[in-house]
Amino acid sequence: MISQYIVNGLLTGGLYACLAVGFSLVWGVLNVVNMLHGSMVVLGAYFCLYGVQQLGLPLYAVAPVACVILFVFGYAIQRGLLNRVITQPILITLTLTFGLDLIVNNLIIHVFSATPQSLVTNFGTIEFAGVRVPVVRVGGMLVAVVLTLVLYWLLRHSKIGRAIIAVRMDRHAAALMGIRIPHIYALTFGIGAFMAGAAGCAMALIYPVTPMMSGVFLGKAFVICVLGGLGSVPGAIIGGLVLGVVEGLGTLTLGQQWATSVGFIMMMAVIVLFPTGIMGKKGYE
Amino acid sequence: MKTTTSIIAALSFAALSAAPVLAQETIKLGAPLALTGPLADAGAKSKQGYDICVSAVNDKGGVDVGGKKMKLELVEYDYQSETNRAVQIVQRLINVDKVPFLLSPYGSGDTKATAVVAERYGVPMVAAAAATKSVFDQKFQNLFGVLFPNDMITEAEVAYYKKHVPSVKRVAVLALNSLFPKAIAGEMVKSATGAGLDVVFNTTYSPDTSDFSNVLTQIKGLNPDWIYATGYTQDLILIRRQMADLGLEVKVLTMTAGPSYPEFKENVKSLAENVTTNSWWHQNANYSDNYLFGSSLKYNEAFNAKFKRDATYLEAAATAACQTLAMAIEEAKSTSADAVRKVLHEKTFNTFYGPIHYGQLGQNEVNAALVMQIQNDKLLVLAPENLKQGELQIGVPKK
Amino acid sequence: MIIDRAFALKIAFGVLLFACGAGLSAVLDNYYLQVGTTLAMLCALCWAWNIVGGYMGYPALCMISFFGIGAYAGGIAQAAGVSESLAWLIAAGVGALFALLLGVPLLRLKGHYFAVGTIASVEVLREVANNWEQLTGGAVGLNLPIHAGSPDEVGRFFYLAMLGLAFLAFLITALVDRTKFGFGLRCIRQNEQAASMVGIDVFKYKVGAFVLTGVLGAATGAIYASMVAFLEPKDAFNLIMTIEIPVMVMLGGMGTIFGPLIGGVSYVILKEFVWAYFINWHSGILGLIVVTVIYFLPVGVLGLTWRDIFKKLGASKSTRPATSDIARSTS
Repeated sequence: MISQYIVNGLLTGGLYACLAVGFSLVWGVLNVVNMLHGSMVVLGAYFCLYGVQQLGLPLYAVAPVACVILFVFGYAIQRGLLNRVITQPILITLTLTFGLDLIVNNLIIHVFSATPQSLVTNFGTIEFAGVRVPVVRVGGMLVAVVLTLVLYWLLRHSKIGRAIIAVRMDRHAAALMGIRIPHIYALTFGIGAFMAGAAGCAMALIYPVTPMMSGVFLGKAFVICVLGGLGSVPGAIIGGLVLGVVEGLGTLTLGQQWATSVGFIMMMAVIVLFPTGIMGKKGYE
Repeated sequence: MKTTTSIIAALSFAALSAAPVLAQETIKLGAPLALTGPLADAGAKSKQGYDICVSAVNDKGGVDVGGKKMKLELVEYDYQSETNRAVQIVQRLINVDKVPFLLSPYGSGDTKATAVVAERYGVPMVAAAAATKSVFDQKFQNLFGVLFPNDMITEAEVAYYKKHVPSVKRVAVLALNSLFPKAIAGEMVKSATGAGLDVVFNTTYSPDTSDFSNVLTQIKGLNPDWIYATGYTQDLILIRRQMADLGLEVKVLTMTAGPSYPEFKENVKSLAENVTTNSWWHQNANYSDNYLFGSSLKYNEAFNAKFKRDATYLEAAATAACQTLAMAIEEAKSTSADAVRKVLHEKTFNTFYGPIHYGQLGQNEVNAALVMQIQNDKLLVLAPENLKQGELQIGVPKK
Repeated sequence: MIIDRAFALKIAFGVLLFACGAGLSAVLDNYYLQVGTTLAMLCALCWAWNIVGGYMGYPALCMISFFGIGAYAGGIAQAAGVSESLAWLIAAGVGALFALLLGVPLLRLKGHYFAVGTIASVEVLREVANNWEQLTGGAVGLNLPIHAGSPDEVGRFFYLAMLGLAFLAFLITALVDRTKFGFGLRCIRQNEQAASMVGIDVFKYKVGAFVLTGVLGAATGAIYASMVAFLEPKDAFNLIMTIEIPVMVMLGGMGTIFGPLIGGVSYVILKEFVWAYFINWHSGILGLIVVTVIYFLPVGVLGLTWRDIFKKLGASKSTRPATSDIARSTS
């Protein structure tokens, strides 16, 4: 039975990782706690739902488009709004994104209504040594993890990726090297939004989506980001998997009613005990 | 600085004078609605229920108050699913909009909080979406509930399944940690234990739960015959899907109140088959209604014409709440709170919703609990016997 | 304590304002009393937050943790038969203790981690309140004895109680503003290391400010609990309010005596206005207000001068930070 719990935790954790990676990148590079992240995930999910259900397109065609739309949206938000206040104390950027979240969420309720919606698929389950694994979850998790790894690779090996990392390590020096910082900031936020869109598409396959889920998604992203270290892409994967498994074990020992608090309590403990994240110093991707 | 002050002054003036313009000869019903926030979906449904009642009453000329026809007017505000806000809005409705009657906010918790205010001012408030006994046990004189108490529902269900599936012995109960689901789950445990069933699992889950695989794995290990789950519709959808993922099979799966809503079926498709539920109302019960709609079926037709879908107990109860107020005003021949309150306490109202008798405690005590099951994509009534549309199908599909 | 003419005038003005507020209770009808009560409650919370958030410059997002703890402490005490006023005092004490327990670990952190730690406290407390049924009544809620009296009397009583508490918060703020304690907090906001160099016991000051905020927040919560007479976890620990309070203070001006008042009043008026006219859009419009406050009033209403306004209007393009600016100020 315990193996089933661990598999459950890992499957959920993979999705959590995808959910958190964009949030973590933005926090780490821009030093912005993006309260809008949850709503961007929900927005991605609704774009996918709209494309598949209303336009009748296949998911594999809709999902990339949804992600690109979100990328543009994120880039525009950062370039047009956030860049202007990015030098302010964190309270300012945090409340600004909170205000944006209120706007976007209200718009989502209006356009897509608050009724739960989801893509219903049936890919069946695989059974292995008494452990049942639903195929759709494995798929969702795989896509999430692969995208995250691609992002990791791009950050290390592409020119823009190197620039992002450079900005994260030392903005001052990066600016002197001729890196256009506002553009890099906007790109990073755009990538964060792109990943949120991807997570949203995976969510639409697995969860009945409502606009109100944004808060739950945001909460998970917070916890994972702190567990894995700010701005660290591999950290987000590890943090996500850890959170998934810990929530599962929390259910087993403390009961389901405490399962969601376990994450927050763990986060507070980590913040107090390891103020620079479990990984110790800031990882350089 | 000066301009800012004057802008603020101007805004405050605008805000203070923002009360809707008084229309002549209307009876205002105050309605705090949850149009945004976690209850947004349910709030929108309640609003539809109220709207159809108000327009139906007004179409036939209005409420006959001692020979004078008065139209109904709904004064609505969004309370953002926040209790604090709901309380404030009820204050506003009573003091600024001077509404003589109130319709309660959605859900047992918010109803209870706002009932304190209504009681203080002596304004009758009819609750369309509160079934929990603890809401009505404060001996409030001004609170009336359309839904009959939870335990009538659970008693009816336990009796039905015990009779039709004698092999059901082990029950697992999973409920959202929130006032109503928790209360009905508590009644379920009581009814089941009382009937000699074995409650093998009884847990609540947090409102922020995003995954049920672990708790369902736990339940699977206990091998229950009957699973009773209650919570938000999106939670029930996820529970049903993850049950299939984990290969959790049971003889009876009951969910409250998700399967009553069309989105449940839309989101689980074939997995909805054989899921049972309970309800306070269904159009097939077909009660006759001489005052407004004619009958339950005709009410549903009217609803369908307006909103392009079938009504569920939620909208029906909202309509009934508004309708009993209108009927009580006609009977009292007055819009005074005291006269109407007296009628509400004493009369039995025959509506499309069924007979409604609020009695001295204020909660409708006419038992018409329905046991229902989704079969071939349709929600059928299994019990009571006189409304029966089908036989219970045992077991739920694997996928 | 430094008292100059300007300060004396400010205090006199504040006292006058509160006296007028108390006088108004005789003429206002019940709804406006209720709005006034909410206003006084929010202003009290704003003043409380201003000590940690404004003077000390720490992004504390746990105002509602204090509020909720106070509400539940007072509520539980009252449900157990303790008198109303004693329950409020108990709640203030519990608030102090809680602030101490939360502050000692969290105040070692800075910036984002502090903000996140404080915001997580709201989530954890809500779940604790939800699950600890024997104490809090859990999700079913907690019933308090209903304050006896006619609607008018009850409305006036709670209005005056909240107003009194807001006045207390105002006086405390005025004290903080002009004493060595407040000076120390401002030093901490500027530069913590430098503050410790000039002989300020930084950690003690920080914990002291946090406890002060906690006491005021908890007392506010306890009065609120007595007023509504029914508590639910989702109501007592409301995540949106924990961010709204800082927004209000920002709107008025952080680290000033009157900023919380101006912010609280204008935010409530804006909210009432939006709420009356835009039934389906108000949360979006509130978001718009938040965004506008941040762009156009980054130092609050009190920080505005005519020159700033002209500068903004005349050179709105140049407000976009140059690359070098960003590099300079974020590293």
